[in-house]
Amino acid sequence: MQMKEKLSPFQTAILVYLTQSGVTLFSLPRLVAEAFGTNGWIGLIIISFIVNINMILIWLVYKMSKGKSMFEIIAIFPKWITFSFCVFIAVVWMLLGIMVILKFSMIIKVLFYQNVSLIYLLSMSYILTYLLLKKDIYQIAKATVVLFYFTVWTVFLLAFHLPEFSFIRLTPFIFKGDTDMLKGGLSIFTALLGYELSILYVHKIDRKPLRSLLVGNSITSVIYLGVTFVSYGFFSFEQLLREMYPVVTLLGYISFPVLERVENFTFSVFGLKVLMTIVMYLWGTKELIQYQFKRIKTNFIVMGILIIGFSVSFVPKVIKDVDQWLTYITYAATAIAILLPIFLLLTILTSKILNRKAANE
Amino acid sequence: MNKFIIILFVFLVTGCAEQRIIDDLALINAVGYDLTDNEKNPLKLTVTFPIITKDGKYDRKTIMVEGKTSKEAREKVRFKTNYKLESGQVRVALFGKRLAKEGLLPNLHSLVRDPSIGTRLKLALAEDEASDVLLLQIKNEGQNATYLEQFLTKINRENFRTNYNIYQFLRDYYDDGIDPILPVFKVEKNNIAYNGIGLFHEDKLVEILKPSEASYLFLFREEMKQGVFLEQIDVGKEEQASIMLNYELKNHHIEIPSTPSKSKKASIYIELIGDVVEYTGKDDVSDPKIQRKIEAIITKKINQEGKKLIMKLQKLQVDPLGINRYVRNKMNYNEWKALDQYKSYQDMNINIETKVIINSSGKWK
Repeated sequence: MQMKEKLSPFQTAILVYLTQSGVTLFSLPRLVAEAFGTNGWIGLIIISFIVNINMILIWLVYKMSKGKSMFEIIAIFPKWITFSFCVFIAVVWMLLGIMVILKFSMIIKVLFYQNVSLIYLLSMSYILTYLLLKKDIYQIAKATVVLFYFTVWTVFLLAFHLPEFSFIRLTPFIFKGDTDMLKGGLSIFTALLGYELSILYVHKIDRKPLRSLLVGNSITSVIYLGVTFVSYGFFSFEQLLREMYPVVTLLGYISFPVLERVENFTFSVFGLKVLMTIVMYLWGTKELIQYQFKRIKTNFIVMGILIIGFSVSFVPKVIKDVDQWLTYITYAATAIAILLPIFLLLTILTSKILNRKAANE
Repeated sequence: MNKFIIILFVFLVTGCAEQRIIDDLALINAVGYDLTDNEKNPLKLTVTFPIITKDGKYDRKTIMVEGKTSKEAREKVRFKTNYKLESGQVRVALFGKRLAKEGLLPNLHSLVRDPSIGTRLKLALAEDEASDVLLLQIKNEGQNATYLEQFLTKINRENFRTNYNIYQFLRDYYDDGIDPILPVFKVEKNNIAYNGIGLFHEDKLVEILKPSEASYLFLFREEMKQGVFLEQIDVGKEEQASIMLNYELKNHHIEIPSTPSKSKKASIYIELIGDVVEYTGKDDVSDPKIQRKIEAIITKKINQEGKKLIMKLQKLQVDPLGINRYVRNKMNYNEWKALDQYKSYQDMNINIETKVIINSSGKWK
């Protein structure tokens, strides 16, 4: 390559948004209701704010290291430390990506295609994932822009629910009912995960990295907030707690003059968003593995990840198992999201101090 | 190489999908639930689906079975037809009166749990047995399910904003400040006719309002936008006239005076603007003076009849107007949870304040 390609701020924002918005969206309003109780959509704003702080940490890593990549920063450590470190993160990210697509496939199977084999649905998504993963981040980012325009119109479907929306149903009570702020809040936080991957590409952003990251998170938050808010006025509170996938019900409620049960289509379109989540997580995994094994061809790594992923997909048998896996994996991923930038910041600071000392001596 | 693998995959994976040939499917379009006297199999399930007869005519088939639960009965239906049953096209679920009095929730749960059934599934009550309505052969009508579906859509669109689909019913059921309602149908001279509104206390049918009473109920419900007012009114001494208004509901709100401890009062304000379509009195309706007089008479009538209806609702402990929602929104959470909602609703003094404006007397003076 003669000229080094860079991610434009717009592409970055969309990349962040599409990585974030994944399979949790379908149950999000219920999760919010379980966590924060009545008018829980306000809680979503708080969570989004925490994510913004985390993004600032990631940006600080970039700023303090003067544009170095994560791998350049951790290069000061001995090989065996970086190795176990990278492999751990790689495994978590890989499992997260795989479980997300597995859960989506399972939901789509339960709801719409009961007689279609899971292998079929998974194979389709893995083929698409492979096609995207073969390329580098710039190509993926370009594809996300296309997918963004493909999927973003679904937000406007919320307008169909306005006739049934009622402010009276929102109730004046704030955060009342059975609430579980900590555990529930964490599960909502995981719905916004995906931004932490930006630590791998923050140095590749053309300009205004912080702003593009924040814009990405804002898009996700606004969409999440919109969906949750509409759900609160569309469903009654107790009903919302009982809806397994409120967003699927929302989609199912839309009727067009000619078509009946359009949700089968719209839900499949949502699959593209979920696809980007898995692609980005597996991309993260690929980058980490590639860093450790520089000699292996990228294509083999991608193949390896996908084959392992495909096999792991058959370990959890039912949605319940997947949910169990997802809970633990997302906890690990949350810890990575918060601790990784802090750890990198400390590394930069100590190496700076050490360098200064060395220079003084 | 890659392209080859992908093409290979595309062909291989198509083999996994199952085929469904539409001619071999029984696309159920309506189900009916009834209670039977049979103790072992208390539920009677009626399903109807369209078929194409051997000589190519469009017909329907209705199957009736008894079972313990709705899904068990559905299994029995499976043994009674050569087609493959599909419930993805169910448009109407009809409940018999006796079953509705026992409570709809168990059956609704099995409907809403089934992912193949849509959230827009329309619900209705049968004044007698749901199976009677579904089994009825109306000449030249074809599918009873389609007939009912159209009927329900019409009712909803025309002037009764009944909350009739499964999502709306469950929403109002789970909302702690409002009770659901459903339209009632009955078999009448080889025809299916609308016959009022069923009032629910939680998920149990309590009472069926006659269509004339029901029209007042809808006047006080917020979703109502326009309708027809038809009533006998007293004009002058011992003189009665029939009047019909096409009206628009201009304003509707329910107010609860915010007294901190107990809100025992509620007021419903409505404002109607109407055009006279029929008037059988001797007076000249185009005369503004007479119009004002009629306005006053109608206002009085609505207040009177409305009050009667609301007293009835309070006595039955049903709140289809959702007055309790307004009470709730004036209280704090602990007060609301401590409140005996139906008791306080019963004791509440609910006022109706109506304003009727006659817009025109039609195109005849």
